[in-house]
Amino acid sequence: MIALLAAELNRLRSRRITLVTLLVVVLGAGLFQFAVNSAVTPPSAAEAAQGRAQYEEALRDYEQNKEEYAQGQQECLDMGVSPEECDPAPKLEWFVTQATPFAEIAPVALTFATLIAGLGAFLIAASFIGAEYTTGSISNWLTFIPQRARVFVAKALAVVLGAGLVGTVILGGTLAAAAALTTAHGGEVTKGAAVTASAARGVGLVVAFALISFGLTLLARHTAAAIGVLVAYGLLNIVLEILYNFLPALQRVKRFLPDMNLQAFLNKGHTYQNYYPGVGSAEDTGRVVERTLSVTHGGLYWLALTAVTLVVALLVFRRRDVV
Amino acid sequence: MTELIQMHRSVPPGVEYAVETSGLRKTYRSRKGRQVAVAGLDLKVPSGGVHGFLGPNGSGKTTTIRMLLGLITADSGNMRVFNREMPAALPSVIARIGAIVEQPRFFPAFSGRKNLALLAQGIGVPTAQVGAVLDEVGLGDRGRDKFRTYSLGMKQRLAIAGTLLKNPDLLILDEPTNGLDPAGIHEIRATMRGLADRGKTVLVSSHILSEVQQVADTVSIIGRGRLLAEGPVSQILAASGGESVRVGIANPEQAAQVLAGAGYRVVPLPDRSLQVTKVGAPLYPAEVTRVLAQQGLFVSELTPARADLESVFLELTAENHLGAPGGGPAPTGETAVERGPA
Repeated sequence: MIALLAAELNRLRSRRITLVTLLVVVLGAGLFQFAVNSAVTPPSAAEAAQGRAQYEEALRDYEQNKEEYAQGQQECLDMGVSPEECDPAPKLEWFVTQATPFAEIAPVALTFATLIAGLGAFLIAASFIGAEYTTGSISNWLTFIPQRARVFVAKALAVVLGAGLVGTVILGGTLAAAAALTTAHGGEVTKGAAVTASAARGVGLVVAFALISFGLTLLARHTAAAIGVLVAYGLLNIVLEILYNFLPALQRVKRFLPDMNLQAFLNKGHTYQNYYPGVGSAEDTGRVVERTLSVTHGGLYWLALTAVTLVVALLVFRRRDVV
Repeated sequence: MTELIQMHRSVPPGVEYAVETSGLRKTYRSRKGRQVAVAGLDLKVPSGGVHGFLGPNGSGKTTTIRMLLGLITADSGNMRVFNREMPAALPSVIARIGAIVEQPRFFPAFSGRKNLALLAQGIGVPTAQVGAVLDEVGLGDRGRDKFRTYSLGMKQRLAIAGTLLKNPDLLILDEPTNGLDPAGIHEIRATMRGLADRGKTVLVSSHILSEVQQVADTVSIIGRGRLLAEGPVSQILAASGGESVRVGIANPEQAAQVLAGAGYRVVPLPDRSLQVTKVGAPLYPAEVTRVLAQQGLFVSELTPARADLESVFLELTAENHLGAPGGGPAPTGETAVERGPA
């Protein structure tokens, strides 16, 4: 098994598409650090003065039109939105942007890094397996190593190790860069343990992305099919967003969507809102209901999704004729 | 021809078989219903030597090889390789089997050397051996070139080099000379003969019969997924009658009836000529023309020919209606092949 795994890893790292995809992922993650840098940079004195002037003007406007603001606040509260979010009184922080704390920017950076690394791992895994079918070399390979379960496990392990390495490097690098930028701008790195745990979960998600791609490609026997599933999911999300307006009850499916569960697992829980429109009268403008997905729900969801894909792929791979 | 088949179906004493199948069957689902690819094939490949596995396109050769290698599953029947039950024992005997199924299949963006190194690494063979097998097939100086830049002949040679990584006792080559130039064909033939002379068993499937006749010790001829004849090449040629004449005539149907009535064996050929043989007695071409002329039939061409595998093959497949374009796998329920004279 070690020899088989070594051969698979050798092939994985020798592929040009692996190197190109990794370069794009590293570049994307690197470019995002510009946004992180901008977020953790405190405002200059001139920016602070300008913001303060704008705040004072907004405050004057609020004092002069308090009744109109109050009416808007009531409509907001009627929709079920929290009092804090409905409070119309201008706040200084709206106008004088403060440097974003590390504890806030790190999860955003990690989410982006997980998505881009996961997407990269998905493409690499799909191409890694798809190429064997499009070139027909899987047939040649199986005439050398006919034990299909062993072949399957070796390929899956290669994908796990490859994706794990990519995830660790990208998410670890993202976290380290965010911490370095925060410190460089005089900020403080807080909640380090929680953020590191989130990054570790992110690596797990990158591996899950790759394994699901591996399973889908084995089932479909073509790289394009696995990528097609990804594109189809993107389209499904757009369609669902439209359908939510006509069938509000459909919003219940949100808890079963991969992206919702990804955020729940990565960010240790995810709160989202469902909007249910009113009956049409002026008084009833609808309501917003907050829902929360737990980290456990997100974790189990991704674990089950990965496991089911792999088991089905293994069963099919073991039995299917290779021509 | 029934006698021919039966003669060679008897098992010579003391012969060991590298490959044996009995009642092997495989069907595929298609839009037209179930298609029979292999219909109860009984195959015996003696250990040592080159064994030609012959049949028209679509007769089930590649399907049989794929079943032997565990790439596809048989619907029913038994297979044994080196006296071990297949596919259950495949993992334990695969190290003794080298195989190329249809076209050589490698990663086009990798070099020949890299492709073989991956295979060697996968089966735990030292990668240092890659250079040796590349040299053995004459690809030593092109090993670092990408597979996609190879000619068809080079691809075939690379595939053979891959099989040699294992130093196999049984080499299965599926149409290995397809697309090769005469020099490439000669090389492959020499490689097969060399391996057989070193005590290996080479099972080579082909529909290019002249190639096989030059190198094979024994052959099996199949049609529509069934065995039509098998045995040593020399015996098959002798049993087919040895000599024959090819008769060109304006009315081949009537001529065939006349000659059959006079005790000749007649096989219509695709170009509307007739292949005429006489079993158990010498064949005199002048006698053939006399018999026909007595019935007012005059030959336009009369070509004496010694029997070769091609004529035996054509005879067998024509008798079994396999030479026509529809001679591929038969749908379920249809009598795929009937042995014996037409």
